[in-house]
Amino acid sequence: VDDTDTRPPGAAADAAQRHITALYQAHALSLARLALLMLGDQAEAQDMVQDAFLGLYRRWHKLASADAAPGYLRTSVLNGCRTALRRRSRPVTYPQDLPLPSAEATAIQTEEQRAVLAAVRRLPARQREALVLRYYLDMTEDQAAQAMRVSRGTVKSATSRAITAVGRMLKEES
Amino acid sequence: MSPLEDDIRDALHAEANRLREMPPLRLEPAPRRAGPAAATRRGARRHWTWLAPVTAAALVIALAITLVVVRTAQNGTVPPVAPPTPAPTTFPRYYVGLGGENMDGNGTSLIVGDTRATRPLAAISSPTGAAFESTTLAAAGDDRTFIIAETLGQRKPPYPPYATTGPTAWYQIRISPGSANQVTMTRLPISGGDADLPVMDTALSGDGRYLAVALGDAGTVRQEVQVYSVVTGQLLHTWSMAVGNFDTYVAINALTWVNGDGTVAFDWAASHNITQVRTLSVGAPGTSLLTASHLAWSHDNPPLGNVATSIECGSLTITTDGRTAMECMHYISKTGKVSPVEWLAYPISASASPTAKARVAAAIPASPATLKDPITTQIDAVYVSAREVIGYAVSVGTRQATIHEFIASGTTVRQLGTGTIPSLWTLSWIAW
Repeated sequence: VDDTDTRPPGAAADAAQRHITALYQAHALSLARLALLMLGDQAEAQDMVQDAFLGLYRRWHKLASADAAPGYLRTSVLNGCRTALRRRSRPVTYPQDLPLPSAEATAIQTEEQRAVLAAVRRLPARQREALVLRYYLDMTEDQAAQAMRVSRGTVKSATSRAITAVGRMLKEES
Repeated sequence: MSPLEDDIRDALHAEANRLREMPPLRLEPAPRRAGPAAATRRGARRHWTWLAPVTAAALVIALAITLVVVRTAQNGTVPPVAPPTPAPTTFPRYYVGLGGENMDGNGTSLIVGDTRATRPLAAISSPTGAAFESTTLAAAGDDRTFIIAETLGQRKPPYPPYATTGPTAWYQIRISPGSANQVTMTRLPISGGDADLPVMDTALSGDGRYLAVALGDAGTVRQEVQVYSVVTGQLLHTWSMAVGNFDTYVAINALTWVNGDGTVAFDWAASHNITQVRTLSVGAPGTSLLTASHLAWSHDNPPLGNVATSIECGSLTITTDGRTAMECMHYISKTGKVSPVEWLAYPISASASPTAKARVAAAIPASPATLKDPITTQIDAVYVSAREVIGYAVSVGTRQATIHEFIASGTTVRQLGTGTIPSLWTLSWIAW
């Protein structure tokens, strides 16, 4: 396993830490929310983001430009989510299976939203990812295709099938 | 945007907003959480998030010395392809994989390989610098001939927009084991497609002489099925249909050559609840996709019942003899039980709807004793018939993935062998 620690030494490490700390403050929460939508598990989503930042720290000096860091982090989180989902041998946790939500959270999520989320979580991973990228991150089809490493046509197809399936599940539940 | 799309957007944002804070940043690996399940997930995840880009880069560098001659074929000069092959009895040995993007988000490459070799045979960069299109990757029946197209997609790191358009150049890839040039890539005389019609799916006939392409989706004004001569590049047939709004969206998928390469089959969603398999004779007159194609099979999508999470294991398709529709089922139930992977066979009748209940052509248990490492990332088929399935289960290593090749009939599963391919993070798509 090539897990060589390539952290920058000395002053360079300090600079890298400052950069990454600033990036963490700016992007960690939004990345964790993205991971939460993919995985359905808050702790796992937070771990995923921590790992992404640790990975970035280790290869900071290899990064072509600091401007590339947010893109690297998002790719890293999405890759991690895909791997976690592939390896998952247990069902995705449903919102109703989570610990009782706070009153605030309850107020935020309507019954209808909970039903939609339950349906989204029953989708195959790729379809769920397409929905998250298109409707949570508001990516265009081309942007989602880039993030998912598939063609625009595949994004369209996955999104369409996902919406169709969600609609069907909602109808069955009602 | 439809009301349902609005609902999905609102629900996703509401769910995301449940997360209000993050723990402090750690720049050292954290101790693993207690509990074997958490430890397993965490270990695997770190490993891949960290190693994936390194692995991809290392592979490309390692293969950069491999010389692949890219030729340009004139009409009629495409190398001949093997005659039609009978139904396979072994797992195909050679593959072409489409490499994912590097960490800068630009560039793709093809990896040509032999599952029995420890290193791939060649890595091919796009001759023009454009991207290879995943939906255009297809294989012929001889285990030596593949096809792929480039698009004009532009990739500029680190952020989009990226333009993706229809195919601009088609290439044939031939593998000639033991020869001086084991891998050759030839630009085919097929002209580029309509820039506004993305390719949805591609199928190469078993003998490699004909190429079927499905184009267009909800964002385009029409959908088409085209058939080309690979040898001459001539567009032999085009069938098309107008595309309505999103609610009437129909996607053509699972293009398959059947009936001795005289017919193209495809599946599409006729409505939200009905999936059809339609067949299109290459000699069919007319230009209307709906009129020229024949409804071969149709069924209502089954209720989800106890399904909590569907696991992808292949599209609804039709066997090469045109007599059976095949569907793969694999899911995790609401109680957490992982289902077997089952390939269901539906006989196709003249009445164009299932007349008999599905028969299980093959089933892989959730924890197959005959396949090592049952917790695999993927199980998929490369050949299906009404009686048997040849497929593979993948277990992922750090730099390579091991494929456990099997032939299954009913509940009998026999391992055919094992092979290796580059890690699944290096290969985003693969054709056998």
